[in-house]
Amino acid sequence: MTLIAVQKTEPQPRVTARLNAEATGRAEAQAQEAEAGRKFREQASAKRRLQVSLGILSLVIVVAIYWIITALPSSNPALLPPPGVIVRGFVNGILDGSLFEATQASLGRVAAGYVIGCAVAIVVGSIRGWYRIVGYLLDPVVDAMRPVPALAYIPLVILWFGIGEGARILVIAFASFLSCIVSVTAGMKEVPIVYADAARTLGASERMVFLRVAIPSALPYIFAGLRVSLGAAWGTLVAAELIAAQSGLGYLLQAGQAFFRSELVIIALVIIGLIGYLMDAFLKALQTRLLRWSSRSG
Amino acid sequence: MALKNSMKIDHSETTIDWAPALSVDGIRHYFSPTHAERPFLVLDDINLSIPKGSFVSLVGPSGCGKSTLLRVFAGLIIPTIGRAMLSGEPIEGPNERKGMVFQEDAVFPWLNVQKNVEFGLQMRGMGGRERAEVAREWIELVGLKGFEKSYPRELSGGMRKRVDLARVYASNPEVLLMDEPFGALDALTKLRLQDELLRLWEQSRKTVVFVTHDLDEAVYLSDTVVVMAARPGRISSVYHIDIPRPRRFETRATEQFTALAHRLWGEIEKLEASAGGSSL
Ligand SMILES: Nc1ncnc2c1ncn2[C@@H]1O[C@H](COP(=O)(O)OP(=O)(O)OP(=O)(O)O)[C@@H](O)[C@H]1O
Ligand SMILES: [Mg+2]
Repeated sequence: MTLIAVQKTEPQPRVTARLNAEATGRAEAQAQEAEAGRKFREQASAKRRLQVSLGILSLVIVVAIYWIITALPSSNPALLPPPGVIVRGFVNGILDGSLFEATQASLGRVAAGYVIGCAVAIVVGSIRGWYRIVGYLLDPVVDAMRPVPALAYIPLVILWFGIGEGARILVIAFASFLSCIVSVTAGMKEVPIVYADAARTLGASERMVFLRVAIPSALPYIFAGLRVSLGAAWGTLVAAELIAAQSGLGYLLQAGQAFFRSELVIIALVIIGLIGYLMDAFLKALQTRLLRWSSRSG
Repeated sequence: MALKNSMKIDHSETTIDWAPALSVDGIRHYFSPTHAERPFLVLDDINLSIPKGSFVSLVGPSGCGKSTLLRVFAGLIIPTIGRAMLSGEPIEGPNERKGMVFQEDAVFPWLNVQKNVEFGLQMRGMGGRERAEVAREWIELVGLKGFEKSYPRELSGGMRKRVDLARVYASNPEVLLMDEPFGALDALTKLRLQDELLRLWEQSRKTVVFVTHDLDEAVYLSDTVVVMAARPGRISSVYHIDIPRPRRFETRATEQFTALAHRLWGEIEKLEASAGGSSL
C-alpha cells in the first residue's frame, strides 16, 4: 500500500524529443559535415605520422645501439666495423658499380624464378584445389615435396644442370612454387559453395564457375601466397648464391667473409633487407588496390 | 507410395496449358550422415505438381526439408530416388532456366552491385551495353539506385538480399525458386518487395516456388500453400488460397485473409509441437 502511495507522489520522468523540421539548420549541418571530414583526414594523417615516426625511431635505435657497441674500447673493428667504415664501403661500392651489379644480378634471378614459380603454383594450385580428382592425383606428390626445403635440391640441380644461371633460377622458382601453392590450394578449398551454386543457377558453365567465381573468391589467399613466396624466393636466392655463384648479393656476403671484410657483409645484409621490404610493400599496395572488395584487403 | 502425401494442385483461373512447370513424383532423398550410421531421410515420398504460372509457397518447421526440395528443383541436388521434372523433362543439373534466391548470402563480394546483377546476363552472352541497361532497371526496381558501384561489404544485409533478387530477376529464369528471400528484410521493405514481386508475377506469370516462415506472407502471395512436416520431410497439407487477385495491401485486413492465416498458424503449431515431441 505504501508502495502505491510512493509511486503516485513521485513524478515520472518523460522522454523528451524535438522533431526535426524539414531543412532546419542546413548551413550548420554542412559546416559540421566539413568539420567531421577534416577530423577524419586529420586522424588518418596523425595515424600515418605516428606509424612512420615510430618506424624511423626503431631504425635509429638499432643503428645507435650498433654505433655504441662499435665505440666500446673492447670491440674489434675487424668484426664489427664502425658505421663510418660501412658508409665508406657503401659509397665506394656505389661509385665503382659493384653494388649495383650485385643487386641487378640478384634481382634478375629472383624476378625470373619468382614469376615462373608463382605462375605454375597458381595454375596447378587452383586446379588441384578446385577439382577433387586432380587433387587426389597431385596432393601426395606436392605434399611430400613441401617439407623438403628448396635449398636441399641444390646438389641435385647442380649435378643435372651445372652451376649456370638456369640452375639458380630453377631453385628459386621451386622455392616460390612450394610456398605459394599451399595458400592457393587452401583458398580454392575455402570458396563458399553457395557462390558456385548461385553462378550455376545463373547459367554459368563449370569452366566459368572456375574462372569467374572460384578464382576471384580465392584471390585474398592467392595474394597471401604471393607475399609469402616472395620472402621465400628472396631468401632462397641469397642462400643459392652463397653456395654457387660468382655474382649477386649472396656472393657479396660470401666474398665479404672470405676476404675478411665484415662491412661488405653488413652492406649486403642491409640491401637484401631493404629490397625485400620494398617488394613486399609493393605487393601490399597492389593487394589493397585489387582487393578493395574484401575485408581482408588491409 | 503414401497416398496421403500425393496431391495435385489445380490452377483453375488462368492456365490452359496443363503440363506442370515443376513436378516431383514420389522422390526420396537421403543425406549421408556424419555421425549416425544410417542414411538420413530428408525428403520422404514427395509428390507435388506445380502448373505453369502458379505461385506456390512452402512452409513448415525448421529442418523439414524446404531448402532441400528447392535445391532439388534447382538441379543442385539430384534426389536419391526419382527425378524432379521441369516442363516434363527430368532435371539433371542446374542452369539458368531455374533461378534461385538462396537462403544464405550469395551475392559475389568481389563484384560491385552493377556487375553482380549483370552476371547472369553476361553468362548468357548478352552484350555489355544491353546488359548494363537491363541491370540498371532492376537495380532501380529493388531500390538500390545510387549504389551501383558499391561492393557488397559496404551494404547492409537487407540491401545485399535486394542485390540478390535483382540478379535473379534480371537473368529472367523460367521458374523462380526463392528461399526465404525477404526473411532478412525490415518490415517496410518486405511489404514493398512483396507487392513488387506480385506485380512482376502478375505481368510475367512465371512459376514461383517460395519458401517462407511468414504465414501472412505465404497467404498474401500464393495460389497454394504447401505445408511440410519434419523428420522425415513430407507434405502434410495443402491450402488453396482463393483470395481474388490482384491482391493489395487492404487484402490483409479482409476476413478471408485473416481466417486463412489463422488456420495455417494452427496447423503449423500442431506440427511444431509434434516434431518437438518426437525428437525428445
Ligand atoms: N548437406 C547436408 N548434409 C546432411 N544433412 C543435411 C544437409 N543439408 C541439410 N541437411 C539436413 O536436412 C534437413 C533439412 O534441411 P533443410 O535445409 O532443407 O531444412 P529447411 O526446411 O530449409 O529448414 P530452415 O527452415 O531452417 O531453413 C535438416 O535436418 C538438415 O539437418
Ligand atoms: Mg532452409
